[in-house]
Amino acid sequence: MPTANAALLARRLEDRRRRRDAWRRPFAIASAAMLAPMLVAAALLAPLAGARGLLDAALAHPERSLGLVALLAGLRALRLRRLWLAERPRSWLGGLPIAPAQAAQADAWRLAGAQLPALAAALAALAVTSVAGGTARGSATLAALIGAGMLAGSVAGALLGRRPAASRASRALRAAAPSRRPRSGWRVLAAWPLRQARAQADPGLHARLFGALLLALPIGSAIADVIGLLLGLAGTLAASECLRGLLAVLGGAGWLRSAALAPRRLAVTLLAPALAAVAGIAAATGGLLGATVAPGAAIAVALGGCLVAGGTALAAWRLHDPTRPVR
Amino acid sequence: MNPPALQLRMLSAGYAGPRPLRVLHALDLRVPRGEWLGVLGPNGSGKSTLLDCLAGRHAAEGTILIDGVSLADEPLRARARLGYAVAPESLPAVLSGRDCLAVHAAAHGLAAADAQVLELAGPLRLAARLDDPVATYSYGMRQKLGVLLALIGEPALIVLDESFNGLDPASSLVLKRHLRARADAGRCAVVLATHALDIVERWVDRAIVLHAGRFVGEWDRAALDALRDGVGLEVAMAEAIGDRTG
Repeated sequence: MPTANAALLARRLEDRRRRRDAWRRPFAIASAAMLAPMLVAAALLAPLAGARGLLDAALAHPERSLGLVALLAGLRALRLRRLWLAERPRSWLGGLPIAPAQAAQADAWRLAGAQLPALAAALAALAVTSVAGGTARGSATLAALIGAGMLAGSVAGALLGRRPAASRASRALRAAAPSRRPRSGWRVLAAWPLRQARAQADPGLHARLFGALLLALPIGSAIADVIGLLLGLAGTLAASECLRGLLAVLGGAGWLRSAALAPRRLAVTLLAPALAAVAGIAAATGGLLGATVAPGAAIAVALGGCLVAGGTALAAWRLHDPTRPVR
Repeated sequence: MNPPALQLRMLSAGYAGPRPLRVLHALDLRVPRGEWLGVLGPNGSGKSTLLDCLAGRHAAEGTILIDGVSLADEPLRARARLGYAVAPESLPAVLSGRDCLAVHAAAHGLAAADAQVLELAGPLRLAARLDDPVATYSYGMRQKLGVLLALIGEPALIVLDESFNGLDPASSLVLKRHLRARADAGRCAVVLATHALDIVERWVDRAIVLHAGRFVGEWDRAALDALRDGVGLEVAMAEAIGDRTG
């Protein structure tokens, strides 16, 4: 028979778990929202003539392809080692009564496991292309692009990686550091989501994605196609980072729960600038893409992205509303 | 006659869910301006839930009047009379301390945080770091910032939940003296939930013990002085909750 305190603790733990799950839900919705532009991008990518050329070249020179894969694997291994060296001094395993070699091995496995989501994302992109593009050749081409992009990103990471990886978070925070000019509280709240977005954006990931597209140039793709894809990717990334920043802010707005902030004004102040930024990015990207690639698809993606972003933000507000007490 | 800074009538609260749990049971309490009240109790007794209810952070049944204003009927007016020390872990990492102060000042309709609050940041050794992001603060610095947020706007009721945890002794003394002076001047009442019995023995006017969601003990200043010179508050508390430790 549990005591009252034990029951209370169990209840609180369950409540915390429930809130954490609920907090993840908007992110899941946002991730699903990103699937639509991915499908359109895959459909646009499939007919690229240069991509078929890449596949033919890869098949004609298997030794070069194998060399490329070996190089990619080696560079990923170097990156893992760099991460491991950076994290090892902070590892919680160091405090356990186990041999240092065991702790080091456990850390290395943990870091290797942390790389799996990137691989899973690449496989998911392949699956999406297979569904949308329809040919194995298209899928293989995309796989080659992703692999080559990871290669380019890893080279850049290795060149820039003289600083420990752990300092990236503090660099991002410094980048998002507020100005020393005193500002009104409402202006602070309005800027908070975009500042959060800047702080949590991962430039390394963005660089790898852009690298994948830039590799389409030397294989003979039309420059207009590449520019269109770069614009589309840049717009999608910028909009998704804005939305992620806004969702993180809404999830972390509990510190405002006891403050006497007018609910409607608080909602507009927090939501409007970030959603306006998403809409602006979508409009600009849609307009530029529409002029170069496919006007109908560009408008549909831009409008759909705005609607999904707005719906996600409103759902997150209802879930976390800091002006209402928790039940 | 001025209303009390805090008045509770039949306050009950709990947690919803598939197995609802009632944590607070029909509590009555009155805290006048000028009083510093210590809330004691074992882990899981309902102290934080009680303070969350007072701050309007957790839903509750019954009546909560802050400076005579009903928290349920006029939440904005009631919250404007309240200062709640934000928990260190919930402060926003990317904003600076000064940004956080500006947000809470705006909630009180002020253009900036009170000069007295900003001056207090000096002796608390926080002034030099107010323009840095909260992410770069230590736990104690976040704790100090949380308390400073509670002091903005001349609140009638200051609610502190374990707010002295992690503070260095010098800063802790500065803060205790500041709160004592505010209360003695009749500017506010202070409600502090804590396990630090030395603070309760030396600084508060009254202490109450919460156990399983009910008040089970109460001592005024004279009784606390007697306990300090006698068996000690620790033993008295154990007796109050029916768990004599010998």
